[in-house]
Amino acid sequence: MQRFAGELSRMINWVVERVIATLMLVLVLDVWIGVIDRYLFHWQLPWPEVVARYLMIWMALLAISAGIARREHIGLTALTSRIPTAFRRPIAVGVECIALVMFLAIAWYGLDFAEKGARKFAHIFGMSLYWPYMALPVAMGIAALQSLLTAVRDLGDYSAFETVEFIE
Amino acid sequence: MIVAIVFVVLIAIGMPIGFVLGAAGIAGLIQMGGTGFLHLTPAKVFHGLNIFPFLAMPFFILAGEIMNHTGITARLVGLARVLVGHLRGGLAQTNMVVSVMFAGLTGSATSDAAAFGKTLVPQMVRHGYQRDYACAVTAAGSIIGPTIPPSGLMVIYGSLLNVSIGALFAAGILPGLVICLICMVVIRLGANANNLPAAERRAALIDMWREFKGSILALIMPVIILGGILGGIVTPTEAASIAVAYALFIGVFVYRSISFQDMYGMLVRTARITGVIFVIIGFATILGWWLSFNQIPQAIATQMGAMSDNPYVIIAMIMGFLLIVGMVMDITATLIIVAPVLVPLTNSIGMDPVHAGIMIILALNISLMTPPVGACLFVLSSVTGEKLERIAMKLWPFLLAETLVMVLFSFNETLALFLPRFFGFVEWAP
Repeated sequence: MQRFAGELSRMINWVVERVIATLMLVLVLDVWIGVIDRYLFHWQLPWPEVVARYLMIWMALLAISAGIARREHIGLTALTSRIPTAFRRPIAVGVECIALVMFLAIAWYGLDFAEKGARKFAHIFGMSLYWPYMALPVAMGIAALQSLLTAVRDLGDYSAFETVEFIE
Repeated sequence: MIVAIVFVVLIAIGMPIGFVLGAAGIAGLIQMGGTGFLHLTPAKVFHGLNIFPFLAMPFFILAGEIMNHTGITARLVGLARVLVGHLRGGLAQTNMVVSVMFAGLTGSATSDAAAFGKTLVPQMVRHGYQRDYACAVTAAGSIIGPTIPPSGLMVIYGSLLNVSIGALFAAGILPGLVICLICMVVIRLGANANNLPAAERRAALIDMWREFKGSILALIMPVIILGGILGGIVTPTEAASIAVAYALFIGVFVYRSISFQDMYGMLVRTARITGVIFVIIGFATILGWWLSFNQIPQAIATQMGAMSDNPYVIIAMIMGFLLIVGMVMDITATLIIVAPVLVPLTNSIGMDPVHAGIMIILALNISLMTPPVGACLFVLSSVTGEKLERIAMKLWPFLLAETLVMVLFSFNETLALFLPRFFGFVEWAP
């Protein structure tokens, strides 16, 4: 079960990391277009700034799940490291369960948020806000799934997880 | 009260700080009206991140990643060494000078600490420095990174409080340089006590020129970033995107050290680091909204204001408060939650928001190297294998010196705002 969860976590993250790398690349190109437009060609394009903000939000929110899979979100360990392993592991699993519930709650309400976005439009070029707003339910849903998978994968024993083995 | 308990308990049991902010914020919303307020959470996160200047952060991170990959660390160390290596404790002095050079390329203390922990600390140990001392010097120098621009904290502070990021960048330069100088003095004064190696022979002019030539392409980058922003030519986001273009150009075409696979790795790492920072910003917005809805910032500001109406006492209280909070909480989270509380207070005593910003950022940067959760200490401890407590023991003279710098710039508006005024961001005092 632990092995299956670890493998599934790795596979999902493999896809997510390729998506966030692509988003980051498109983000760079988009802002470059904005700079070239402003200082060289003066096309006065209305979209680079708006698109950049939405790309950044999609990228950053999706990257949260990658951080969970790789345990890059750091917490205070000064207290928990002082308690015996037998107690520490259930606490660590409990922390992940709380995170899971939180992500699920935001994802659930995020769907409603995105539905409302479908009836709103970006000021400048009239795009529906459905797709920008969908970043919340999608990213929080994947973060919830990764929280579940990493909780099962490690069962509170973080030393069992080696980042190096988590192939990019 | 429930929110405070949730916050403290979740921090204590090791939940990542970003998640704690979200969970505590949600607890606050539930306390207010069951699940009726939870529909606000996605909107708060989205709008908390939907800020154009925030784009500067991933771009500065990416530019730093690219520059690091080109092997620029070794070149800058070489340059710093020919400049100050002849002083007693030459490699420790080099560490400080290279921290300043690096600060213009990256905006993160922890990335500087990690980079130097892997390169300079082993080099110092090989040359006879004690490892705990080498780590302490590196920790002390690492906070120059987010003090001298570009600085992620300044981008966040400026964006959230509608303060010119250019002005904050200008205000960061002088304290960063003073921190470097005062730490160099501390190294010299402690040379005998720490049994530092004897001075090396002064480098010949030809060596200096060779090292300078090897580093010049890296040294131009801060000039592009700062020149563009301080000259009012480009916005911080645009400057950051130009920095990426410049770093990429020299990485691909000049040093020829970046492959497609490397580029992919840098894009992913940048995205992941951004995710770690933005989860804190996004979720802090939930808690921040709950706090302001319940008028808690105003209550805290009123309480602090009621303790004294003497501006100096209030500034001292704010510095002490930030140093204590920074000891146990992530500095990005502290900035987002606490700055909107403190700035109305500093406004009430006539403190310029740029001056207040630089004071807050200095205090938070210093807390990066204070136990028990100083992030730079953790990074250095994990990278070098040195015990955190031993590093902290060697660090206190630097900590004291840097606190003095913070006090100097917090109480002296003329000094703190000299460069923002010089570059025209803030009006000269009548």
